Amino acid sequence: MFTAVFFLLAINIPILVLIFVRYLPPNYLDVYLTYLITLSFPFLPLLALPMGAVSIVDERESGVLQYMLSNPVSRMEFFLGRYLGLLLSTSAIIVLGYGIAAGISYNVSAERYLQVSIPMVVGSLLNAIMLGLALMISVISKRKATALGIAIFSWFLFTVLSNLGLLSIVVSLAFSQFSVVGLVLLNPTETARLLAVMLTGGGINELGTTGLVIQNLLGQNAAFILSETLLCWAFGATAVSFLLFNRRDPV
Amino acid sequence: MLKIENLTKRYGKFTALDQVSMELEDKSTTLLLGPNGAGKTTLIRCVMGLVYFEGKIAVDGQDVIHNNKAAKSMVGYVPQESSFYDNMEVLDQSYLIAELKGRSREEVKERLGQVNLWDARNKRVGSLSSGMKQRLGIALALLGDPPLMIFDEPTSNIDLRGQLEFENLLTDLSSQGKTLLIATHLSGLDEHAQQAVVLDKGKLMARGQPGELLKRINAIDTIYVRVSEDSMATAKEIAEGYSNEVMTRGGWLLIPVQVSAKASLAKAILNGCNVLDILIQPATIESQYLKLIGGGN
Repeated sequence: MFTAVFFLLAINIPILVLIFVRYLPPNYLDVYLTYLITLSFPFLPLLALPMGAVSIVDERESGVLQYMLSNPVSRMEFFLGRYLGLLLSTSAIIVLGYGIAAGISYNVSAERYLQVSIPMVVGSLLNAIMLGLALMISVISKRKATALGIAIFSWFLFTVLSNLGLLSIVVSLAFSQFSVVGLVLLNPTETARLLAVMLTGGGINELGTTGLVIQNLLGQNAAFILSETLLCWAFGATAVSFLLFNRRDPV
Repeated sequence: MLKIENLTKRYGKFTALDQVSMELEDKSTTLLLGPNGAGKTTLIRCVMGLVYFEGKIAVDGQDVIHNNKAAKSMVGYVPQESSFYDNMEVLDQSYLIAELKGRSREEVKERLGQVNLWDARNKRVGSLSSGMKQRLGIALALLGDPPLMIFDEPTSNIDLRGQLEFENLLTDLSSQGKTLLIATHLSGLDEHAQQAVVLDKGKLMARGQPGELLKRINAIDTIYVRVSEDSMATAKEIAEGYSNEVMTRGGWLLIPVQVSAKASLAKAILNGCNVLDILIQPATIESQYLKLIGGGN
């Protein structure tokens, strides 16, 4: 169902209509991609967070985890197998969602697919981070319902509660612009959105207040620092999840 | 085959196992007895390396913590409630476990056939009955022909026919030279066992051959006698000479009697009364272990 919803989000029917009536500016792809990133990125965590958050706790509740680990398989192998399986399946949805939508809607040539690959890659990186966090939730939760609740709250926290457009102005006024950088880097969804918008050449409108602060303070290094931060998030979240999984009894 | 030294497992402040040590000889069958909460399942989980613990456990010399995969590959484990991926088909679930154990698909076919599940191979695991799930668990545990088989409450979820089949399976496995560890609180398995280990509140209360343990606790057999009406008073009088807990139920005399006195009582009744029927229910270590832990008379 998520695949269908995501596909409809990415295919953007109004754009489809405009293409058919040939009423699009020459740089419509650049403009539309940044718009699409801002629109779709907050929803990406909704794919990995619930799926990942219930995966381990569900198996612990049902006894499957105990049974699987009673076979000659190490905890690391089990965890990596679970992580990579979920990562591949959820990332495939993102890549295919953007990719097929681009092929159908935007009528792009092969070389312009490179531009479409930006939201695919950054989106998949965000997905990997959310999956790491989701597995962490799954490992520490005692019940499936609790894990699902924490997962949904996490999404809410990363998207709605920390809507940094408004928050950043408050923080900037109350403290300093550097505090805004800290807040952005602590929020992988916002960091990923800004990185993707920057790489696709988005302007002031798409970057928003936080993007302007980041660009102002970090200058040309902004994209590098944002991408490094996302990689750290991905590695850190997965590593902490595994350490917790390895430390806890599976029953 | 299995060596456990000073095994202690704590859950917070609760001590589930306290300094338990035991050893299973090669090709022997051991019953692990104890009431609910005694620590039987926890002990098995420790042996499988599923939970962290203090102490040392080795399966055929392989340390369960440091050589976890090697140790687990020598154990076939059938948990109390077989938990599988319910949405998978029997065959897919079996292939998955075979993959983890590095076994071939041909062996899967052989093992499923062995437990009469080959015809159900395309059914979803979730649709199987408890007995079928247990048979599937046994088939998958047998993949790789492990030398040590561990059963956790194997007869608790199956009917009488299943129990009889399980006893036959034990005989087969035993004759194949496998070492068996069976956690149970039900009777009927002691004739298969060379050793019984009794746990209570996480402590090892007794260990030895089932017969020796029964002697140690002066185990009680029960003799059921049905005599003609004119012999009833005589039979009761004889019985009361051996037991002070004689009961009458629907024309039967129920006489709990110490194992050592059983033969002479039966002989006295047979000689002195018109006996219509006689049954002897022997004491089993599974039914008497409460005495070993001080919970019975």
